[in-house]
Amino acid sequence: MYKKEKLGLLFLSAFFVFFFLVTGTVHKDARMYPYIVCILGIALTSIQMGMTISKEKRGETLNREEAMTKTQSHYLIIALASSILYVFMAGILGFFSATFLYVILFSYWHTNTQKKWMYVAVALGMDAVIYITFKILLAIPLPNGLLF
Amino acid sequence: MENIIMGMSLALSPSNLLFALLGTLLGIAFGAMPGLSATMGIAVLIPVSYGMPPATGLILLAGVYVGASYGGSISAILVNTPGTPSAAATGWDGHPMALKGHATEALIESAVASFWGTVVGFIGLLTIAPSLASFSLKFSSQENVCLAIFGLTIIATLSKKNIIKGLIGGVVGLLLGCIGMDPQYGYARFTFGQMSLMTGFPTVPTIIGIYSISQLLSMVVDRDATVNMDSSLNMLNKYKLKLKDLCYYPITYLWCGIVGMIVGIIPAAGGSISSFMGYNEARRLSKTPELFGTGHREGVAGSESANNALIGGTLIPMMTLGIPGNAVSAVLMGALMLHGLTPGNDLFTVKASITYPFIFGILISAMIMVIVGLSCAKYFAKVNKIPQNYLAAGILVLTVLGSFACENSYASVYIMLFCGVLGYFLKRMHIDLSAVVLGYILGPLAERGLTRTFIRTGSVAAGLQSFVTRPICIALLAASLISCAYPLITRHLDAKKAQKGN
Repeated sequence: MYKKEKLGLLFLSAFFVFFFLVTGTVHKDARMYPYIVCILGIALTSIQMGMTISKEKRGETLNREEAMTKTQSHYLIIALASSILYVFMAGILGFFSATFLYVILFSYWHTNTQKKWMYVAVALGMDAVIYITFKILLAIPLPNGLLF
Repeated sequence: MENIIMGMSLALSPSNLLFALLGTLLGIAFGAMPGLSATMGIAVLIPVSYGMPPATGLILLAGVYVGASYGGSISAILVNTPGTPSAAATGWDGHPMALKGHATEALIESAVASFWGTVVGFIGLLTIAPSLASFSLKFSSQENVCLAIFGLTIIATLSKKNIIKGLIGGVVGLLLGCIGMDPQYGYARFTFGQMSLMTGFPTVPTIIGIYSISQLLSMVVDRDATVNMDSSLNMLNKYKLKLKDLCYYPITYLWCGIVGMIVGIIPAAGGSISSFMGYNEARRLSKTPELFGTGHREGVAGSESANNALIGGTLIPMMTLGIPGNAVSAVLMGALMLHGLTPGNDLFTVKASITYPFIFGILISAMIMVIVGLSCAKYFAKVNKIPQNYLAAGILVLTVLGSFACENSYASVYIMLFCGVLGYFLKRMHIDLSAVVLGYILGPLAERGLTRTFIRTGSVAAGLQSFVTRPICIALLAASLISCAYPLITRHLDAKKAQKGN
């Protein structure tokens, strides 16, 4: 757990250092505040890193939470990739078509123990409710595409 | 007095009551859907209100405002996705309550607290509007900075377990707030050549991403962890409304309502700040502050009463001085002008026959809202019975829809997804997401005030000196110090008590 904590803090430090360096490309009149924020961020992550290292040396327990397993990492990657793909496809196929496909595929992948017609019915129902509420009643524009 | 009686009697006419009911129901629906908001609801209904008598049209819009202020808490409590930014703090205790099977109780408390908060704001609007409006004029850039600092010190209270991590979260939020054009000169920062980032990260997609996408990712990643929700779900319909529920925390409603109303009077302070401050004040006043954040009803009471009292507060400078307190009151001001009303003294004299029914419309909408909230709470709570796979898919669809609808742009959707990934990473690091949201919302306010102070005073030294010579600044800075020191002192005293016990 200490390894994960230290890696995370290192990533956060790198995040603040990156933005500190990018601030140098900003006009001088607009640099002060981001510099203050980035310096604060670097200082705080360094302090937390110091506290973590000293806890590790004292042999204290960090958090009770288990590290992410390989299966969980796969779930995370699939969830993220499917979300990005859904947004991308909404612009190509159209919002309602992409939503219909996404809801069926995602909910089946998540839990494939329900009856097959349920996945289709829920996806259709969701599309219908969104269409009536947003398109008809509220006239809010939604992404269009090749299909519906 | 005559105007008050006249306003009340006109507001209670059958047609006005019907439109108050319609407006409130629509407002609750708008507020509950992440991405939609009171601003959008009012903007969509302004053309509809134009064909009605002015008082009726404005009562409809008042209903939407009141309903939406409460509606945001429904999704914040049930799925940890605040429907409106001002409901962000409600989810801090509301969602843990829902996870423990007390969703109905949380929704009831939210409705009741929203009602009492609206009443406090209504009384303020009706009775002390002119004198409170002149107080808002005393707020200059220095006061705005100190207000932002006071708001940021809430991070210390929220992150009692690890203040350094809370501050890191706050600083991440401050950095997110830096993206886009700087508020003073308009120079682009951290846009990486993208035009869509010139206006910065939009508020609603950012907050939706931080809270709900990170929650969605947690739901997917931890789905194999079998949490037995059966007993929690069985408790949902067993909660019986008691008379005590109608006023569970009277002091909290009153004090947090006053805080929310005062924040509402300050232009550009925003609804989110009022709910955070209300939450913080409720925690300070509570006999059990250690329970906040774990699913404590009083947390919901504090934030909801503050964010609904904001309604009256924002209307005070809008109606008396023509200075809208937030985006919603700015749109409402447009609606007022469309109906031939100009902010100022005439509103309360020559046009009293329209203004006072509008003000009473707020109170009537609050009564409708609390009746709807109390009677429908257990039905809203049934969202928890939806299977996780459909709930997760539904959350993503609605958040994408909401983010897209905000700016009619895919950029908002990708920003939402980015914030979601960032939020999930910070969650895994045990960094409080509330601190990130606080930093994101208050950062630009602080920066704007700081830059303007330094420009107006001529130098950094003179600017810093001006902070300690202005009475309101001194009061806010003192309150910030107390807010910071309080969790440290209580932690120290608790440790001493534990040592003595051993």
